[in-house]
Amino acid sequence: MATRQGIVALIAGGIVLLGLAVAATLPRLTQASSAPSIGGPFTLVDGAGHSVTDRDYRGKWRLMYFGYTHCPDACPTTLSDIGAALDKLPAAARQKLVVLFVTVDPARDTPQVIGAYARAFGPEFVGLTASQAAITAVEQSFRVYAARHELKGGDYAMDHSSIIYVMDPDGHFVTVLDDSLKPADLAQHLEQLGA
Amino acid sequence: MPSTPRRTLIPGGSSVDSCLAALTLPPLRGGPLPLPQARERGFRQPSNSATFSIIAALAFSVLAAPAGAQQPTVAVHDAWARATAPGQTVGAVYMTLSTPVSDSLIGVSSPDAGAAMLHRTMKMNGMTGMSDVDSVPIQAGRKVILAPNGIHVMLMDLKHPLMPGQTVEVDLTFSNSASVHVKAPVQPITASAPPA
Repeated sequence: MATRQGIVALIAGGIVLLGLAVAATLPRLTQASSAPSIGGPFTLVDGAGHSVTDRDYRGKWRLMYFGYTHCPDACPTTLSDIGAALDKLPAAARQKLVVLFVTVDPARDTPQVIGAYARAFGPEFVGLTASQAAITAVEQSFRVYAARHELKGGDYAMDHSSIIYVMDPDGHFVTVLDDSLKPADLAQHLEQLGA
Repeated sequence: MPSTPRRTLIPGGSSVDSCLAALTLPPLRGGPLPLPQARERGFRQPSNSATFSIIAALAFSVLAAPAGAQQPTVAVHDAWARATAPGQTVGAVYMTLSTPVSDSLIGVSSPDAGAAMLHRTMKMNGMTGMSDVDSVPIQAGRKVILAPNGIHVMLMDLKHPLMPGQTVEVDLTFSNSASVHVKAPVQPITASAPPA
């Protein structure tokens, strides 16, 4: 009988504890679900053909932009605007920053192609590609939209998200910046973030 | 080019006006004015509408057609192309178009590329996309600017990399104007505007 009462007490206590634990966790859970989780671990390939992960960029502010090299207009405009913004930052801030240009068109953007393309915009620029499956996974973790559409003459273009993701040196998502920002405004945002 | 119309529009006579506007083009470009008498007579002595119509019709049939076929009415300014990165096989050419006679840019080609097309970059809600453009209307007296993140001449299958200091050649075809051959200087890949 005593054992039985003990078991009941134990179960009751367990339920109370569980309730407390849930109550304590709940705010965090709801907070987490209301704030979008953006970004996450990835494994991609750089211009030299080396495998790189998000951890390789720990300790640096990371600007990430998704595009493709067969994009003659929007992508180079954004990347050159980012480059012009970096030119306005103090040298010390610039050294703590890396710009990752991740392709949404891995079929055409080989490591060599995307690597050379990104590097043309400045020493901080890194072009990354991977298998379609790995690219799709990164697109999903960053909630990037990318879709192929056919052009006249048998060529195709990619519609894609055109926002700049800002990740802090711990690899956490901080904010997104509109890629239509003028370089001076972009630089100001980066300085305000402490990048 | 600030090509403001020199005269008031003739109500209901836009084609006549276009025709006469075409006649005023050479002085804007510094050349001689062909048959100024016709233009002046048409405007200064419109004794009645019939006379005016006849003169206008004559001017249209005799002068406008050959003038349009022989020399372009559309002017192209500030053409430039963005340099390509190593290995990049596509490029973009930008420019400003103006015309004293409403027209449309309907075709592009380039000896420097396997194919050239008119494309428009569209940005909306954090997304960007590129679509084919069949024609670009150019209203009389207004500039149409082909610029980054808008309409551009897309060069595909480039025959050589575009390096700063080079020029890219583009031929423009219009609905009315004679075609225009453009030599666009290549700007650094980081450029976003034509050379100053």
